[in-house]
Amino acid sequence: MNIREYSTDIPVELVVDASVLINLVASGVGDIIADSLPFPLLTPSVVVGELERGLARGRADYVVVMELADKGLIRIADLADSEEAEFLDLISGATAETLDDGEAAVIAYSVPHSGIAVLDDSKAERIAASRHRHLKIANSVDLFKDSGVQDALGPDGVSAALLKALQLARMRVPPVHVNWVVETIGKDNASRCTSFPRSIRRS
Amino acid sequence: MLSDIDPRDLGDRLRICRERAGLTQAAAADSIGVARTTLVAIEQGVRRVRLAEIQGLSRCYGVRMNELLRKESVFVDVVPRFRKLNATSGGGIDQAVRLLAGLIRAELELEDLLGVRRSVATAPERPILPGDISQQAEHNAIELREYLGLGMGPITDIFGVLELGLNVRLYVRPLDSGVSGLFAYDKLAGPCVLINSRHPLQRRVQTAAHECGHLISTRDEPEVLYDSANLESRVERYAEEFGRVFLTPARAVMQKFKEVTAGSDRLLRRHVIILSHYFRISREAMVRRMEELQLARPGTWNWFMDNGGITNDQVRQVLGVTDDEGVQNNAALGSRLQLLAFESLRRGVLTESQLASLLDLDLIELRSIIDGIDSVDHEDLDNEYPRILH
Repeated sequence: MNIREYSTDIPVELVVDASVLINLVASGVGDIIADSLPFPLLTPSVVVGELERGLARGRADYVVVMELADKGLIRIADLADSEEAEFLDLISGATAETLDDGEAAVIAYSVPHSGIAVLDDSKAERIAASRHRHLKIANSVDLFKDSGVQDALGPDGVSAALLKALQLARMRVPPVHVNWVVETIGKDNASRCTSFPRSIRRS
Repeated sequence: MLSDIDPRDLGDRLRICRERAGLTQAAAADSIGVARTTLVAIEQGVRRVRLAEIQGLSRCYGVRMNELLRKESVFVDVVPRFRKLNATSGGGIDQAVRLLAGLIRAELELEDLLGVRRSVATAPERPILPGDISQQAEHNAIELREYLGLGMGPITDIFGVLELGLNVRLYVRPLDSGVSGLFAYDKLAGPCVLINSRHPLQRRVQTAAHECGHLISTRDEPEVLYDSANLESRVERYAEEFGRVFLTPARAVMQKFKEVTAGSDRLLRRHVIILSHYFRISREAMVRRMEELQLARPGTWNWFMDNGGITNDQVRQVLGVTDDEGVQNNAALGSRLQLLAFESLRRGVLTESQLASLLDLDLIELRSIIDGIDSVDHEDLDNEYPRILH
């Protein structure tokens, strides 16, 4: 998905969940990426809470995200009362039709705000799309592919950032993006990334 | 909607989560700014809980709201049973108990989601009777070997025996170094054992055998095996003796001892190395067993210790590998739980975040486990692989 295609008259935000933030942090250039994207980043406070719990496990993603927030590169928002009904619906009920808190909050926030929900999980995307036909959905790789990010980092910078996200955060690459990622980081590097299917790592 | 959820069911879940977190009703009530009586009413399902209160309580208890509210979440809990043991004080033990409870819950929920039915039938129980503990332990350990079809041979994979022969839910995870293992039995989950992956293989083997003893004799009582545990009680002496006989039955040790030491009138290091490797136990345990069976004089192990010990280098020279090398049950989750986790993702039943939260892992830890499974069997599973005939 080319996220720039979604320019509208009303302000749009990229609403990101924990997976996206972890990938951005791992890339080492989360600040440059955030600054280069066509729309500002936003994350629900529930997601930040998840990252904060990661501190006890020695994960520093929370610290980096808060630094980004201090620099104004990402906004942290609570769900409004009007968004809570959708949030509740997404986290309760039959497990196969529910999502984790962070994913649910991203969708619940995006819908009324015309945000772009940036999710890295196919089940989350499926549920979001089935409940909200007009919801715009993107994933982490879409952010790396953005033309503004490409210009800011340059080809080597994009390659290095992608590789770090793949190696350190084990970033998930949707099938539609596999060829582009392999071309960008090179086949040798791709063969060493366990995020890819064996057919890619073998060839 | 919150109104669709049975308040008594939700109240019960909240209570279990609170107990799991080790919090009083007063402390929990305080965290969300309500009176203790209000929290009591919420837990009893008499007063409907508000979303903001669920958010506050889930934060306080360290659980995701999705975990509290999704239908198939499992709330079997072994933690309160461990609390009744005097042993459960000390952070390392509490943490191990919570970990075991979490792993059991995760496995039960994954089985439920994937429609897996699992037998909890296990070996017959043999309660401890009045009289000589050693004789009972020996008799029951040999009986268990016969039940499992092990004969008198060495047990090359006691973890496999626990899982496949005794239907034990076995988890091997890093614990506080003072904790060797835990045992609990639940009607729904069956027998469950958690062993410390930080311990060397032979110690894990001994812990597994010890927990077998508890499974056979006192299965309704949960148990924690830790460094300063009281091993003098009848129950613990039984389990220790049982474990020893189960791993090294007297007749088998005597037979093998005779073969290995043939032609020698001295007990050499290589004899100890070969025998301990054969029975998959530590060198010390092997020598002490020989002392117990009067195959070596009392104090033989002390002699070896006073004379340079029996080193890993010497083991390598005799065997080619040390006993800790080779196949070990070191999987971060345990093979069964790992496979259930992989299937739940593959079938799109859970998101990675839901699964990470269920297994108490962070997202990257989970991904590295899944990638490990994926690297062995990954491709178009639905089309490439042979179908299982049911």
